[in-house]
Formats: sequence, structure tokens, C-alpha cells
Amino acid sequence: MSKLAEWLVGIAAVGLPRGNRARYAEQWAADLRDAEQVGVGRFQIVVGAFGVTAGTVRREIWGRELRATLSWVQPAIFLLLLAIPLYFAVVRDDVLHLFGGPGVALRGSFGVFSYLMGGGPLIYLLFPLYVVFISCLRLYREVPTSERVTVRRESYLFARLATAGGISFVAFAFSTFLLFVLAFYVWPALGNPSVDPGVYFLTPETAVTSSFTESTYSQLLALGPLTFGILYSFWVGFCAAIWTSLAMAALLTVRNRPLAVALPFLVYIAQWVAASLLGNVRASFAASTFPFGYQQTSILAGAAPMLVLTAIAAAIWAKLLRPAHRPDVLFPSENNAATPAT
Amino acid sequence: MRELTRVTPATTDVLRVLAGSADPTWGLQVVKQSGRPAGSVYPILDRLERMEWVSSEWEIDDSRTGPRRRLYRLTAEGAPAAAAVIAKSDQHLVSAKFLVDGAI
Repeated sequence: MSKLAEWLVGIAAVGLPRGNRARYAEQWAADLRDAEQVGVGRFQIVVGAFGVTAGTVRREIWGRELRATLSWVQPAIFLLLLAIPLYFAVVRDDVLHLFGGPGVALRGSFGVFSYLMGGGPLIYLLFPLYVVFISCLRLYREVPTSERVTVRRESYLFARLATAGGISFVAFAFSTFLLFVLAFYVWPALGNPSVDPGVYFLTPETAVTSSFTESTYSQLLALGPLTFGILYSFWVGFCAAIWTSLAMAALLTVRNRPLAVALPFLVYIAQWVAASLLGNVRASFAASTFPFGYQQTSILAGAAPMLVLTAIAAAIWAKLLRPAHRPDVLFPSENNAATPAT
Repeated sequence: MRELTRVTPATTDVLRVLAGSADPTWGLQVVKQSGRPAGSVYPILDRLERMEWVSSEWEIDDSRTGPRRRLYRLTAEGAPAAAAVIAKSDQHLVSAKFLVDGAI
């Protein structure tokens, strides 16, 4: 326990600002060494150390970063994410039978959800663009004025990454969950407009069981709709956070800013085209995130493309956060061998 | 020194320990004497130090090798503020006791 506790408080100290790390690492090490003298458990000390670190990270990210990052852009894009599917549903396809439009026949609650999540190509194909706009605008503005950035580098990058990734995660997970609630709870309350399982030779009951095999991740419906809704919303949020991390990495390493923020989208589309041409569109990042309309695979196989991308993003960030690999774009003077490091 | 926006019972207990000692007190001793877990006391000490109610210094003890203990004390401005917080807390305790006794 002693060695493990020492290792854990060392980890906790790493999460603190550089100026405090050595002080707290030594302080907690002394406390661990002498804990028995005062009859205080080592586990308590570990919890206390992480409490201090968590408080620091919370202050830095939620107090300062989030306030500086949030603007009218995030709510606007969030509303757009909800408005697009609703526009297609209500106006184009008139699923609520308001305008005498063509209408659609949906199998059941999952059919409604698939339909809303499809949202036309505006969500499926433009996903990384929304992610970038919702999370990376602040860094986009800051990159050319990097000389004004006086905070320490790792803290700066970590705080930006955590804030932008968190915003992406929350925005996309929450918008997905709202559409889930709309499909599974509000829609039945409205009398299930446009839901007609009979068209598919199904009854309302068999429509439920058939939804378990309708597309990848819909297996989770067997655990209950709410479990599916929560887990799938988290998955979409997670995918958005990964695209955010890649866009930020591009902003830090590619000097052409418009190209940098467009890179995730270009990769997304190029990989989708390549997967389609190879006859396996389910292997695309797009289908891995939005698998609706494709034949069901196992959850692991469905998630695999995005998990591979996650590993790539982690490797890129591990390199970016290493002191030996400072991003040229943001810290030009620190990389200039002729300029002494400050 | 900045104002505390939130004073919890645990904060009061930590202040009480520090106010009760003329000498700087080791962080773990504060845990022990306050009867609060380190998971509460460490973040409170950190917050009190940031708010400048408390200052800290390394223990000077040549007989002990290895990492040094961190000692805490109330600052000149923190001491009267802590006394006020403790007095207010005690007053609430007396009021509560009065209410309970009155009810009985």
C-alpha cells in the first residue's frame, strides 16, 4: 500500500500547476511516511491529494477556461443540431401531418430515432464541421496571437483540450439524448404520428423486438430504451470529443488555420468515400458514429473505426504534450534554438 | 486576503485547530485534531492558503531526513477572520442547543 500510495500521490501532484507540483509531492510524501504516527490512514491522504488536484483542475477549467470559451456560437450550433432533423421531419417529410406533405412510414420508436438522427446529409456528412465550430473557435482565434499566451504550455494545452472536448461531448451527447427522448417518449405521447409498423409487416410488439437487430448499437435496446439512449448519446459525444482533439492538434501543428480546422472534415469525408468505394461503408467513421440504415454488426466491430481514430488521437496528443515536441505554431520562440527558453 | 464564499462545518473545524495553536501546525496534525478526513482537510487548507487566510512553510527539523512536513498557520489577517467564523459557528451551536433544550 505504501508504494502504491506514493505512486498515487505522485500522479495527483502531476495534475497541479508546475509551480506547486514539487511542493505538494514532497508534502504528501512526508505525510505518507509519518501517517502512522498520527493514526491517519494512507488511503485518506491519497484521497486528500486527489481532492486538491481535482479542485485545481475544476477551477482552471470550469472557472476560467469555460467562461472564456463559451459564446453565442455554442448555443447556436446546439440549436442547429436539433433544428436540422426537426426541419426535415416536420417540414420536408411532414411526419406530424401538418402540411399535407408526402409523409413517411416509420417502424416504431427506434425508427423515429433513426430518422431524426439521420437528419438528412446535413448532420451525417458535416459532423466534424459542427464539432469544430462548437469547440475550436477560441483556439482558432488564439493561434496567431500566441505571443500573448503567457501561461505554462502543458497546462494551457490540457485546459484547452479538456474544455473544448468537454463542450463537444456535452453538446453532442445532450442533443442526441434530446432526440432520443423525443423519439421514445414524446412521440408516443403525440400518438406516434407517421409510425406504421404494418407497412413493414410488423405489429407494434414485433416492431420493438425487430429494432434490436435493426442497426449497430440497437442491440443495446434489449437492455431497455433508456440504457440505449444514455449509452448511444455518450458514444456520439465521445466521437465528437475525438474530432475536437484532432482539430485542435491540427490547429497546433498546421500553419494554415483554415486548412487546419477543415482537416478533420476532409479526413472524415475522404475515409467515408474510400470505405464506400471499397464496398464497406460500415467501416467509415461516419457509419461508426451514425450506423442507421446499415446492416447490423457487433458493437465492437461498429465502434472499431472510431476506436482506431481514438488511438491515433491519443498518440498525437501524447507527442504534442511531450516537452521535446512543442507545437511550432503556438510556441514559435520556444522552438527557436537561437532563443533561450524562458 | 479574500473573503470565503462558503464556510462549511469542516472549514470551521480546520480554522479552530489552527486558531488553537500558537505554533505552525503540521497538515496531518490538522487532519487528526479536526477529526475530519484528509479528503476534506487537504482541499480546505489549499483553499484557505489561496485565499490568504493561512500561510504555510516547511518544517525545519534536522533530525528527520527525506521529504519535509508542511506546517500551516493563520496569517495576520486570517487570525481575526477565523476567530469571527468560529464565534459565529459557536453562536449557532448555542442557539441550536437552546432550541433543543427548550423543546425538551
